[in-house]
Amino acid sequence: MQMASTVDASGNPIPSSSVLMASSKHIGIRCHSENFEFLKCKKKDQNPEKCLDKGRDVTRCVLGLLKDLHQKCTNEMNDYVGCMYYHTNEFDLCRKEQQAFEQKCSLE
Amino acid sequence: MTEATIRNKPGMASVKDMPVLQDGPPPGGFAPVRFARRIPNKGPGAVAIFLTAFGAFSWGMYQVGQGNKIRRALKEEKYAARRSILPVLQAEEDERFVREWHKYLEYEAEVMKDVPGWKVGESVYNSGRWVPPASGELRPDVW
Repeated sequence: MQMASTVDASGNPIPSSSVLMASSKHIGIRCHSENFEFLKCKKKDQNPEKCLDKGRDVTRCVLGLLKDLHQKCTNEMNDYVGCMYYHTNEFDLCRKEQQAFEQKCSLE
Repeated sequence: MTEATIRNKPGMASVKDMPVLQDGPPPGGFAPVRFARRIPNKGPGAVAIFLTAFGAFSWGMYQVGQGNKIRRALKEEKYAARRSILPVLQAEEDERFVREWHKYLEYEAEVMKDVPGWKVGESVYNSGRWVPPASGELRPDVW
């Protein structure tokens, strides 16, 4: 169950699929407004160049949130992300780690 | 000659008078044996059987419905997670695309600089919407 660590060299969590899926509930709640603004902008105009600023808001929010989560509950997050990586992002196979993560890191 | 010595009856005149030696029933005969069918006609009636089958079927379908509810909840959880992370991924891809697109526009300007009346990066469609570029591969480094 060994894989590359959740963080890169400078201690920032890498936004890989398992990390993002593990923190998806937190992202959905804490970055809701940024996500919604970005999607509204996309719906108006699909051109990527028109929504770059809102996209940067989204990325800043999510990466900041990941770093915050990782600092507050390092072990639980590492365990949950490791379990997600092992089971290819199947929520139902990682319930125990999910409970521990959500208990520790501010139940939304 | 041995038969005569075994089945001897005192005072018999000839071999023809020997008593008969047979295997037979005990005196008074055997005990009576019942050989008639006795299949009882009790047990559940037709209505009871039908109701039991119908009840089992209904309970089974109810369990199917409950299972579907649980599976739908799991799928909803997965879809909600994908919905939450969609904007980050799209924003990252937009950044990458814009960088590549500007490089391509420079190349186009370089190639078409001597063509009169050529607008670099002009859309080839008339609908007014932005359409993703369809000219060849999107990511040649990946392919």
